[in-house]
Amino acid sequence: MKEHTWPSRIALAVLVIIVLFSLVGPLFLPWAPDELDTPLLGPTSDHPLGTDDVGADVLVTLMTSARLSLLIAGASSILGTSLGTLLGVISGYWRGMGMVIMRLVDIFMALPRLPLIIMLSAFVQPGVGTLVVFFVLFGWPQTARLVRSMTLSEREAGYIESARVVGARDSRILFRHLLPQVVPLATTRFVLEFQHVMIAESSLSFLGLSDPSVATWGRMIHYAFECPSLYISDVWWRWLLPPAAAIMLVALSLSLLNMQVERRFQPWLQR
Amino acid sequence: MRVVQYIITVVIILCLNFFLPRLMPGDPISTILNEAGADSGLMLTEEARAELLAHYGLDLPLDQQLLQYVEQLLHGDLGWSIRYRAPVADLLASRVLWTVGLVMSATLIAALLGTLLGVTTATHHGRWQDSTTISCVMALGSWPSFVVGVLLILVFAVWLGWLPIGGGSTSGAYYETDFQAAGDIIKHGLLPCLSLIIVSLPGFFMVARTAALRALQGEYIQVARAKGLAERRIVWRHIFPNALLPVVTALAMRLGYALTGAMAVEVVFQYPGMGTLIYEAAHARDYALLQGTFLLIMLTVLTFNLLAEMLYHRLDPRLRRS
Repeated sequence: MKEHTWPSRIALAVLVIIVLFSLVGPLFLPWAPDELDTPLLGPTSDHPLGTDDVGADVLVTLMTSARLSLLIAGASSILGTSLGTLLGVISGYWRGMGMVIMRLVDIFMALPRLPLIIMLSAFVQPGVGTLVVFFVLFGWPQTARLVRSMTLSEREAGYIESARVVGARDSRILFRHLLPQVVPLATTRFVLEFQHVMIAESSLSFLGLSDPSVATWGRMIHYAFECPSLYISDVWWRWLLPPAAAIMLVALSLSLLNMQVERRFQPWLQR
Repeated sequence: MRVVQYIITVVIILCLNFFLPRLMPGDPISTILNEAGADSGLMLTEEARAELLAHYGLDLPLDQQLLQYVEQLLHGDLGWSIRYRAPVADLLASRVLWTVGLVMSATLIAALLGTLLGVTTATHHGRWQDSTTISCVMALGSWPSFVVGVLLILVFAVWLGWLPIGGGSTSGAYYETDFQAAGDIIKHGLLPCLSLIIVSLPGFFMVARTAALRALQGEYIQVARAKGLAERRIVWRHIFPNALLPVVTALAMRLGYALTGAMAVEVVFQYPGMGTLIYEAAHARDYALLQGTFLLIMLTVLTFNLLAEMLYHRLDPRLRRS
């Protein structure tokens, strides 16, 4: 089968554009995020998407909300997969420690992840840091389990045996030989986890369960939804639709990217 | 071994449920006064406060409170909702059927459609139909349930005006027959149900597709082909049952996701289920109601997970023998 790389290229381009859009976009607009105009203005040349119920520019809010949306998803998925990979390799290499870590993984995996995060959030109204802690706490076990099973088969390979015979220390075998082997697997986990956290966080913020300071796309949709004139005015397409479309665009790009990453690393993953 | 693990999980969930509200800043009484009764202008003397604390058993040492909590749970007493001024158990009972009906129908339809689609694409493996369907399904599955719900509302309710924007039934409607009432409820349930189908179908699709691909490589398929069986018979009599097997496990596992997915969907559609109950409880800081709802949801998810594992062992003759 001929390999198509253009969907993933487009996906990557879209993600880069969204990041740029969130970082430098507001510089090109005459409105600061905290600058308020008349509430619920329709689209004008000043405000391409109008203003929200407190008078903030919707386009600027859309751009600045992207930062926290991406930051939370990025930080949680990087930390979660790194922790999972590290614990996975360790538990695959040292059997005794592995048993302990895997029992912990079993318990975490049996807990219903999303309902639990929603419940914790409903009580503590998490800010950005707490949200990241939640997602890392419930995100590492899946990675750890996958990485461990790969390490278990990898450590029996000839080159590991040779390294040991030559007298390589455990830490060298672990970090120089085993860790690079599981990087492809960790990469696919990272992309999936990024998407998962993004969806989970936006759902939480949409439900109004995160701290109001967590201004993400989900939070934007939450506010748009509370606007009484949502469906009977232009509010739905200029305020509700943009963040919804942004979330869908990022999620879709990540899906395409994940397919490509999996295909690219297939020979490694199937070993 | 698995059962021990489930028991540990239930204990963890019960502990969280017990300790979370108690770890909140301030004591429950001031929470009641500040959050729920802010407009009532209620003031408490020290004696009245002590009396209230005693009434709720909050003046006891923590271990006795825990015992009391477990004892109440065993009696089906989930506490008293401050927001609705009613027992939590009654509130849950009035909402649970809406959510169960919605989630059940959506999950079953998604499982059936996903399996059919998965088997069909697996038999077209490597051709353009296969890769196109995978891309489309993956694209659909990567969207949050509430965003899908919002889009469906915009298209079918706002733009086309075919279906109601939200609610569980037309408020204040008078039905002449039961059929009319059922029709009204179904009409209101269509869009929320569709949102849930869209977000849970990809999971079933991938599971069924992988299983069908594996089944296709089996020797018995070659035998069936050599016997000259019609391709359609091979697909539906030999591959389909094999693809269905992991779907059964996924069915129960995904119910948990569906329940949480339904939470956001219900809020989007103002559907009178448990999701909206959690939403309202969180906003009113009604801890007893939150605790009760989460307990029910998590125990449901766990029960179904356990059930799925047991069912899988019953359904797969190879596992039964060993």
